[in-house]
Amino acid sequence: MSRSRPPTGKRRSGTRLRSAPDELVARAPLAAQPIVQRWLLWTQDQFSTSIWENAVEEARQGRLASLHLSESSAIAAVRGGTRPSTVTVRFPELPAAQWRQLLEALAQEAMSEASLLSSELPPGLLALAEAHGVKFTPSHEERVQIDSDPRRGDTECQRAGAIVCLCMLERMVQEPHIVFLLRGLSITTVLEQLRELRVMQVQGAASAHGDPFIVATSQPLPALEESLEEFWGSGSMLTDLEQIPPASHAPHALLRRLGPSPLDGKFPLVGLLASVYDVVADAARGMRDRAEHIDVNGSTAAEQ
Amino acid sequence: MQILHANWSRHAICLWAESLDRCLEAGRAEKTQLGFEGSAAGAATGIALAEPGLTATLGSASEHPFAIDSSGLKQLLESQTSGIEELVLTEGRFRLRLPVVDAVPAASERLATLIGSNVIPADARLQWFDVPCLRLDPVHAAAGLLTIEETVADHKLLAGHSLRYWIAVARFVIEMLCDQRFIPSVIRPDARRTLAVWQPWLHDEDAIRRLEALLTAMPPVVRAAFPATEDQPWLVLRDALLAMTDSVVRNVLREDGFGDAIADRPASDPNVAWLGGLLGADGNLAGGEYLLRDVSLWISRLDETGGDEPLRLCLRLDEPGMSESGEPDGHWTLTAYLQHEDDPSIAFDAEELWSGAASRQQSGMAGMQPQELMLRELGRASRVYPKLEEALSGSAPQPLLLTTNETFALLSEFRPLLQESGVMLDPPPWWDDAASRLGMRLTIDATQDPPTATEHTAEARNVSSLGLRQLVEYRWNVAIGDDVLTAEQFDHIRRQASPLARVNGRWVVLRPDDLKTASELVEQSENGQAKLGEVVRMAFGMERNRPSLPLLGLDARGWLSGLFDSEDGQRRLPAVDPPKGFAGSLRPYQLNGLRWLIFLESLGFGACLADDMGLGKTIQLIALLLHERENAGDETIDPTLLIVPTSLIANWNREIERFANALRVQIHHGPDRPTGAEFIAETNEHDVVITTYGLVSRDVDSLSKRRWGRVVLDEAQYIKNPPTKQTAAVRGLDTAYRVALTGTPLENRLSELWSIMEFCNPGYLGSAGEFRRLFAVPIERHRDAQVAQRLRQLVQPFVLRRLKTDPKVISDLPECVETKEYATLTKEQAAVYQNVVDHVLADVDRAEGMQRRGMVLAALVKLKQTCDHPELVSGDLDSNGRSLANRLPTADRSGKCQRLLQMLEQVVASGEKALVFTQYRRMGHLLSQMVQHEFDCDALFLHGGTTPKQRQKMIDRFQSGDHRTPVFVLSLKAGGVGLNLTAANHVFHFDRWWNPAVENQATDRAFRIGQVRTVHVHKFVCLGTLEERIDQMLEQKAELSKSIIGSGEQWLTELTTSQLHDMLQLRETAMEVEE
Repeated sequence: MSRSRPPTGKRRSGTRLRSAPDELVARAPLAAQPIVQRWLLWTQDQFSTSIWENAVEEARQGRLASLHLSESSAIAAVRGGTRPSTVTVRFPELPAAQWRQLLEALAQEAMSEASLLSSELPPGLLALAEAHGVKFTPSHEERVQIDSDPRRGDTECQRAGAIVCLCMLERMVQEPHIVFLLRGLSITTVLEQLRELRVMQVQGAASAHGDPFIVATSQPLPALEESLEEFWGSGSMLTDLEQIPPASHAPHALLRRLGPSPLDGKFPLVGLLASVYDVVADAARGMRDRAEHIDVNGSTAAEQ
Repeated sequence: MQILHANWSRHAICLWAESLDRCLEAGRAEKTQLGFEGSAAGAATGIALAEPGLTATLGSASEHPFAIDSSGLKQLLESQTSGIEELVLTEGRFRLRLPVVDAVPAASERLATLIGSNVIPADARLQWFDVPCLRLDPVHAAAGLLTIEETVADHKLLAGHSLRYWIAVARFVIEMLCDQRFIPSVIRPDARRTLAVWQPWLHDEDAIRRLEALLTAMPPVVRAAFPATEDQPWLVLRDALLAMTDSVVRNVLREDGFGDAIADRPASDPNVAWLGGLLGADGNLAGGEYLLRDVSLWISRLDETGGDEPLRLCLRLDEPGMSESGEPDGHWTLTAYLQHEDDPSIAFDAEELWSGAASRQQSGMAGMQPQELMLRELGRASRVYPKLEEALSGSAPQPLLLTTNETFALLSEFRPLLQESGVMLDPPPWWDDAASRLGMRLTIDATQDPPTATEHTAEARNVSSLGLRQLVEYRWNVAIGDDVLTAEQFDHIRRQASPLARVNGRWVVLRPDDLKTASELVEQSENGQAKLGEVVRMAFGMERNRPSLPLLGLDARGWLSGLFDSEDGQRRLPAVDPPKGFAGSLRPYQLNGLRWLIFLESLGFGACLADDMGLGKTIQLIALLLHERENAGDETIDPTLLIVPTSLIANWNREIERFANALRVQIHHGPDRPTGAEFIAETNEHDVVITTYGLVSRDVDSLSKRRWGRVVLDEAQYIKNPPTKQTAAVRGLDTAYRVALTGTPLENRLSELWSIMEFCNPGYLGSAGEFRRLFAVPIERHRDAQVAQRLRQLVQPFVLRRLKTDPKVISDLPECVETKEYATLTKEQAAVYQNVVDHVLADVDRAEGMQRRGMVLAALVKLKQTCDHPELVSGDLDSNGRSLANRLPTADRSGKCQRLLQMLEQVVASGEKALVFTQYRRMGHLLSQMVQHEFDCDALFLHGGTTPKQRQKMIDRFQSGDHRTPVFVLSLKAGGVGLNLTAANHVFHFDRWWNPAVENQATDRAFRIGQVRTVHVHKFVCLGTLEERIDQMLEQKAELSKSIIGSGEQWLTELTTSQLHDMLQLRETAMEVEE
């Protein structure tokens, strides 16, 4: 007895569009629906009606062999001739300033990060963005860019692009996080930046370097009122501390571990820092020797 | 006297001091309410952050009643601290929250010890006080604290723990800067400001270890400055570390003109913008918020050490194959592999990972992507070692082939960086081996034979008197390990022109500097001639013209053979029998000590016998004196001058009497001592002349009039540095031989080591300044183990120190060693004692029966207390042993106390612990205060009034490894039974019960199951007093008498007045004589 396979949405290892475009929005999670709606409208706006309709039909037949999404682009293998050809669709990237505004707005509400951490979009994401003047979805003026096999004709290229967009929209319904990716930031980066902003907002302060972990793991000390017995002293720990020999590292070790500066700009930052390390270390050694009353001739101040 | 403290408040170190005089004046009632005037002084340069954890609000505060005013403190510091005038000290005030006892701030621990104050009650409340201070801004704080450390190290001021703490922080900051462990960073202290700052880098293992210790060791008072940080020590420490580091770096760069580097650069360049903040005065980064993220990402690379992964990237270096001629054939191979953190046996290289040979399930890598991990880690490692990128040129990582030069660069330059980044590279076993590096060996040829070691004749003394001044021939040889290289061999190496070369079938590291120095050595191949001392000093890096190669060995030939090698030295010691006239037996290690002294003297060297207390330095010296005389034949031996602390004269006299009765002893002490020709004539009639340190300078004219056979210093640490008149007089004495005796571990007290060696072998360790620069500072301040090792090698021939724990010694020692310690009475004690005796003898004559017995017993108590300390009978103490006259308890008024502190000094310095038993509670208080004051430690005192809870806490503290409690004072009744105090291996019976059973029970607190060391029991006896008489009776009388006498003191009440007179009468030997 043979059994038929349940529909998987894939055909011959390809990806088949399972929903009609007008069903996509309704199938999306509630919080994602306004954004999916906005993306659907924008995508439809990029193609002529005939191309769109043909694309829908072909997508449902499974012409898309594979789909890979990365920052601001969708790269797909679309079947057309004897073998699939690569089609790249590029979406307009959100400018850095707008990203900063959007993330700062998201960081204002802990719910945003909580939703994202549970693989959902924050409720009211689109409205929040627009309230801060951020265009979270591409505007009508912004155009999609499609790169395809030059042997394909323009119409064929457009149709292949439309197929990719349709399948991308269906992916968006399942994985709403890609709305960030399509505009230039992976969800991992979004979460990292939200974490930084959270720290800054909670403490009112931030630092490019964190506290050493020992600070976080050490137990709080008893309050002063409970420390009266040892109020002036420190037990034997101070003596133990004085016995620890200083460490010695290779010159410029930290600078070399840091590697090249990630900052844009032409000034040779690392070179100058190397000089800084040498000059400061020399000065510190001089400071120490003077304090210890050692001069270069080896006599002490007391002797002089 | 002042106690100097330090607090960090408002971005500055606030130095302040309690005054003992003011504290005593203030008493307990005086207090003045003053309004608070916050200091306006701020940081001279550097950043100022919002106060973290600010919980207090400004309000009224009382003036601290016994803090010194700012200008007074400034004068005091400037008068006592060299170099402090260069620091910017601003007079000001700060606010401190202190416990309040009777409406005044509780005195600090050190001050409380001086005034005999109680501990702070647990229910004391805290109150803000306004404290005058000197503010050290962050630029000068670190250097200033180190400068002040030199002052307090000389005991001119007493340092509170808070000061010691901030000195430790300052040292940490300076060390981090010297070691280049700081980073540029960006912080946003609040929503309005972004600042570029210089930060100490505290995330690496070494720094974390120090940081953890700093957090744990922070005394609560350090957290008590305004603004209060309560239970968060990190807040105050972070603020200080940041401010000190940032201010110092910023100041250095500004003075060095670094700002010019970006003067004409566009501020739109983010590098320039950041540097603008880093090099500017205030760190301000206007509009630089965007830098926070980029800089954060950059700095986060330092945190990437692969520590989060169970697998760690390791690199294996394989040597090239060898040709038949033994030369390297091919390249070195560097192979990457992943190793499991917990189980190093699980390790896979790239080939295994890519071929699938490494099963994830079997290798503990389930759920991991080891290929990706290796690629990621290799990518990270290539950041610090760019050549690794070549290993990633294929589809899978490949072993990297390296030339010998590249291998040298990898091992010398990149390996430390890789290790810091968490990438392990095991060097070849020979890499860190001194024997695989070019070095040099020094050969000293002493051709003139010395006298036979056992001879102690005048002729022998003349020949050997030159000691370290004798001319010897020497020669430097280039060597690898033990192999001295011939010129041909060295030439062959030099021609290889490679930093790693094969020599005699093994790899040798040829650093360019080493090669250059070695070439010069080979070219100057002729022998040199110099004084022995100079040659040895040269070998250990004390002469400027010493070649800079590491010293691989010192080969002494001729009569010096074996001197610099401890094992050979032992073998070369003369075979000597214990002197015939020695009334006792020498343990094997003591006989060895005697042989060593004879050996060194035969070569004309001074010797320092530094055995642990209790190992018998005294009898070894006495045996030497006897040996010398027994072997002199008809020769006249000049007398030995023995210089001792006053309190030890009687002990020495006793010990010589006991062990070497034949030796004629002259005690040069007291007002009737002879001088000039009379003195010389008398010395000629004696073998040993005992005098004191104090008299040497006073009678220097008499003492210098003759040549001494030997000058011996007991408790040689009395020779202090900087030199005093007394020290100069001691060093100036004309003598054939010099011996120093000390039980103090000299390795921990380098200035004492120098002073003693300067006496034994003048000039050997260079001038005091030279010694300080070359040894004391690197060892004491920077914990330089290599320099410490060099110093050990340098002094090893002339210092013999055996510890009780040495295997060779411990097998010779019984489990319990009992000794008597004889003390004299001070003049005050003697007067009080005589007064009591006169009264009791007059009174008992007129009384009878119970009244008489009562009188005698009361008098006995008074006499014994007088022997302990006159303050016990003067009525100047309250029940807690606190001075009613506001005087400090001082050991100077009691011979026993002086002796006890001398002995405890050695116990404490050796890291050992002691029990001190006394019958009198008030004496216990006095002793604990003295101990606390003298050794800056916490002296525990257990007596009848101690609650069970306190008692257990004391016992736990003493038994733990807490080195802050080296001495436990116990009243005999409360602490004599039932306690387990095996942490102690010294037991002092400060006064006597005369009942051995009771004393033994007390001794058994330490000498019991669980004790793994020899227990030394020291029983104190005051000479010339009833203590000595009863002790003699116990020693000499028959068993029956022992049982009577040893049962307590009741029998004394039955003595007739005449017997009582004989028993109590003060003998001449009792008194410390006026010098």
